[in-house]
Amino acid sequence: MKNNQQQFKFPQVRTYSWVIPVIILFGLIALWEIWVYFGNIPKWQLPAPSAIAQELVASWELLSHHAYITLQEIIIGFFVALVSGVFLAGALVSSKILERAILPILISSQTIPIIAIAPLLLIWVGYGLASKVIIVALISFYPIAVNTIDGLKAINTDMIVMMKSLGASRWQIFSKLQVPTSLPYMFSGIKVGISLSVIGAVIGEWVGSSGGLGYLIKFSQPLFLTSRVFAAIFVLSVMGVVLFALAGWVEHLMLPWYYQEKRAKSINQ
Amino acid sequence: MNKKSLIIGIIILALVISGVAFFSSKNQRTDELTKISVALDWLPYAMHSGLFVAKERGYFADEGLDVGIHAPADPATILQTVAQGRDHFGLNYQPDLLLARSEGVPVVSVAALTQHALAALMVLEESGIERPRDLAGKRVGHGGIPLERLLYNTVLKNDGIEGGVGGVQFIDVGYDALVALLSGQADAISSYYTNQPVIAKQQGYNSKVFKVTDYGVPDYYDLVIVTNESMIRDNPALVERFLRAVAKGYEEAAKNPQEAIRLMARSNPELDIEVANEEILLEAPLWFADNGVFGWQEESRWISFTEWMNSGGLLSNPVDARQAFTNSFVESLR
Amino acid sequence: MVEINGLTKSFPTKEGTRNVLDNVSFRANTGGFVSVIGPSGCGKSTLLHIIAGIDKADSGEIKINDTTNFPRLGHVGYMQQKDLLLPWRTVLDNIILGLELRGVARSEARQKALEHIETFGLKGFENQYPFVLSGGMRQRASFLRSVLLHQEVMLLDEPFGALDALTRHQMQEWLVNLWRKLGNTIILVTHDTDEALLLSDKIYVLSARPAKIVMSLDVDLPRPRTHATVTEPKFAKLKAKLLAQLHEK
Repeated sequence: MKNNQQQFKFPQVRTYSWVIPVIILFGLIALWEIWVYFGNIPKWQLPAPSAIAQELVASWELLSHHAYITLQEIIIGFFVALVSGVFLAGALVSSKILERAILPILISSQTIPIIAIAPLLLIWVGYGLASKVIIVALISFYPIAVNTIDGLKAINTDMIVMMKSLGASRWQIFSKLQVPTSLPYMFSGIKVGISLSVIGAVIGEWVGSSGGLGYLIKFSQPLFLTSRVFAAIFVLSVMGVVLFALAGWVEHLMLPWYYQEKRAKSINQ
Repeated sequence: MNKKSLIIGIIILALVISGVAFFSSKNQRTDELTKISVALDWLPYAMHSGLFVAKERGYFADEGLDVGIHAPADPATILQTVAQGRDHFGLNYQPDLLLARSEGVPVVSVAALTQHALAALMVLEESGIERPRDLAGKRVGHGGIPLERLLYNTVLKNDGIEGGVGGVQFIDVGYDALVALLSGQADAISSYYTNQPVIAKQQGYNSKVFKVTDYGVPDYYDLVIVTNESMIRDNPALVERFLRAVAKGYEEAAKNPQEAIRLMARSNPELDIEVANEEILLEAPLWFADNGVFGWQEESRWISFTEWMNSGGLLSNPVDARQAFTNSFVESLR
Repeated sequence: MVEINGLTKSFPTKEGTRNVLDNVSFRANTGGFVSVIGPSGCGKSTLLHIIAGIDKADSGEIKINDTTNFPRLGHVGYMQQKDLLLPWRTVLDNIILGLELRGVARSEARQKALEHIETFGLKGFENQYPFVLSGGMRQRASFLRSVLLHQEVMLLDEPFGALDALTRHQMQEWLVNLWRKLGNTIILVTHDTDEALLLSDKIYVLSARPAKIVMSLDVDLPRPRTHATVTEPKFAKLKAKLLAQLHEK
């Protein structure tokens, strides 16, 4: 009797958690389709989702050709941002002098609009992959650097006392305490940075390129190939989501304790 | 620990792959050919077909040239990059060339790509506007280029609107003016008669154009092929070889326009083939002068257009039109 | 044998100088168990920091095994109230942290730690993360970490303060048993008079800031002491003495 009662619990949270957003999404898409149809909206202004889906299939080769180019820019640019962001964060935290010298430059670098810099970059570096990589790196290294700095500074003094009492050297305190402490923060920065990388790649292509999804959008817009524009945008957002999820997956791999703890706490609630 | 080394391994692998991709994309070149960079005036469209025919058919290679064609986002930079030598050749507009020369930029037109002006006012047929003067008080959209103001001022005045652009609402609609026209934000727009009307037709809109040359603007060479003075002085053979291949490409494109578009689409799969096929039929007649020579430029036309620009107050310093162009290269191709 | 002689320490603050320790002197015999009791904020932690080598006194000396040159930092065990296990390391890897910092290979260190896992009541949790451990288990892991380093002198800073009463009693018993087995010299800081009386040979009472030793009490209750000992008259007498001193001023 008791066992039956226990088994009769609905698996509430887990099913509902993804069913509802999916329903809402499909609802919105259906609404969109209906609106375009009944509102007689010209296809160059707002294509129907069905038209976009058709275009996705029809221009698959074209889209993947350009997606590959944009993906290269994103991945290389992001890695440059990652390495330089983390390195900069480490340098800043290790020396007060460096911090005072570099931090203001770091912050003001972000207030310069990329859109203004991008054309100049193109003139200096050329129209190839390099200029796009630089733009992506410029846009995405900031959240990585800032978050990693916060992480490295988020030291628990008691922990430091504990490490010292075990005889840890300054380097050991850095590598075995500060660095692991900073990882969750760094990953926050990484997740923001990787989303920005997608935007950066598109901006770079927009300003000057001969390939990539941003280029394709820019090319197709004056031709009123709006379905193609939307299809390209769709591919871009899928790219962004996948990259974000990938970053999250790596985070899960590297911080198993963090997520186990969170899950344990939420189950107990 | 195993997980960590796995992740580090993945990261290193990703870095290596991207590094290889990055560097291999740079190494696709042949050593014997001279590398040349050509800047297009805009994103690739039918007007550029001759260049791509020359590339695909190997005419450039025959002349010992490895030509890299690219489209800068901002046409305003082309004359600079050509003057600096970063681009060996560029496609640009005669009016802009004159403006550049008046600022001392040493660029020269070595061939005309279009024998006539392409600028026109475009209206939708359904608007009922029959001629430019019907636009009095209406919204006329432009792309923010000073030349447009002068062009349409002349057109509107000559058709009877006393204030010229002052007699209409002359609004800046950005670089994609067609959207403004189709969405009803403008009653007329500045356009190229070979381009926007074709696109509009594809979307189901019929249109009318009023060519600027029909309303008192002296005819000019809208698109020209430019290079810088030092190239002409120090490496004329290169210019000749380039133009020879280009001329061949355009000759073939004029004879087989649809084939030319097909060839162009090989390196530009983004092209809308239908639009391009229609455009090229309008553009091909513009590539050859009355004397049948590709790229030929009449001195009188250069002089009269320079004067028109000058009287319109567009040239800050006097420009000697004769220095701005040369036929010496296309002549040798006769 | 640990000799603390005339430790004085003050800190500069915004309002001026804060005198924390004023000529503090006491001793702990080798293998002995000494408690230091005082009101909160009296500088007990500062005292321990100095003995552990993390901080330096303004004046005074510390002799361990008859020498002032004993390299205290890293060689004096220091257990804080919070267990301070690194959350990203498994329990086992936390226990070997001290050995690791000294350059011992992980596999070797792990083996050494595993030998003691059962006695420290942590069997089955070696490869879990610290967040699954109870408070008492965490303190035991923290202990084992220090024990593996063969730190003869151990400073305990209110190690059971955060535990519930029941667990606390269990841990006190466990600590005494461990001490009797290993024979370390233990200096325990606490504010719990019962705890001090149950565990130590000698109790020193610190005054409020600036801290001085105001009383030293020999606890000559026979060992082993259990919780039944709390009800003995001798215990009550000693406790009364202590409380009287603590409530003075």
